[in-house]
Amino acid sequence: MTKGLPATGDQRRSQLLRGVLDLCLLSLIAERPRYGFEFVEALADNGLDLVSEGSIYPLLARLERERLISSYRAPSASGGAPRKYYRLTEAGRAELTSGRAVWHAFSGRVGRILTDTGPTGGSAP
Amino acid sequence: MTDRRTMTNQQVLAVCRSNWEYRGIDDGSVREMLDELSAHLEDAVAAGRTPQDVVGDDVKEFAASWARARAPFPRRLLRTAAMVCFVIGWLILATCLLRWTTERVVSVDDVAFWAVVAAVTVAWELRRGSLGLGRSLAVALVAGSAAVLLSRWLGGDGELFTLPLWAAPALLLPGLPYAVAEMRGRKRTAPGVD
Repeated sequence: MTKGLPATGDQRRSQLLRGVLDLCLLSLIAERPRYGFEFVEALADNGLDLVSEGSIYPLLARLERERLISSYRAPSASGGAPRKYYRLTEAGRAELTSGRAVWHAFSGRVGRILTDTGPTGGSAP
Repeated sequence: MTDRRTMTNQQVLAVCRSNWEYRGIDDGSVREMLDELSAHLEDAVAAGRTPQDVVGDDVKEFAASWARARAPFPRRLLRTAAMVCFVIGWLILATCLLRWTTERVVSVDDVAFWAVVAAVTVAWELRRGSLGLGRSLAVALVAGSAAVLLSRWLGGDGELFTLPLWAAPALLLPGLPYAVAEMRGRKRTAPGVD
């Protein structure tokens, strides 16, 4: 549900990302288990910058409560103190598959509407 | 409401810790969340970013949203209520023991003192993190005394009700399982313990 029109492109991007961030996180975890900072880096590498990086943690907590992901502690690949890694559960895998199908259908429809084909020549009021 | 001051990693962690504790997150989860956030803050700083880039402009709102996602509100409310009763139970027990009496007369002064001290302490700790012993005593001395003086000036030192000694264990009981669980959790995560 939107509250008025987004004022800038950044705000619109931020709203759109908020709508699919959970699927993005599930998809990144499906590639390989990750810890918090790695999610932010992976999103940034794909051109998706978060307004605040920590916003992933409430989302990860919700996904874990819903048993779509589980966590474990392991040393990080770069060395240093152990990190909390997240991995996908079977329920999470199913949710990701379903979410991807919904996204492809939805984005296709939106894309068709947003495709700029120029005026169709209807009568002006 | 935003907090535009530039905060250090330690300040951010202190505010988050206080917020999570007051919002009923158990000790073990608080430690886990602090570890995770601390590691992220260090990585962010190493990558040239600030703590505000991680938690946003409003640290309290960040902490609150993570707390809401971590545990459902009814469970957190239950824990907070049990811990408040636990603290009140200890206060009653301590004052009865100090005065060597089996009942505690609660006056307007007592309510004013503890209500103001609690309000100032909670408000401060939610914004800045833990007060520490020195500042807590200062709050009790300054704010608490002011509240007592004001209540006496307004209405005198009236007695409200009497609490029997057995009220102390009754109030301690709901918080006891949480306190025991936290002590066990601390022992498990203590250095040198497997």
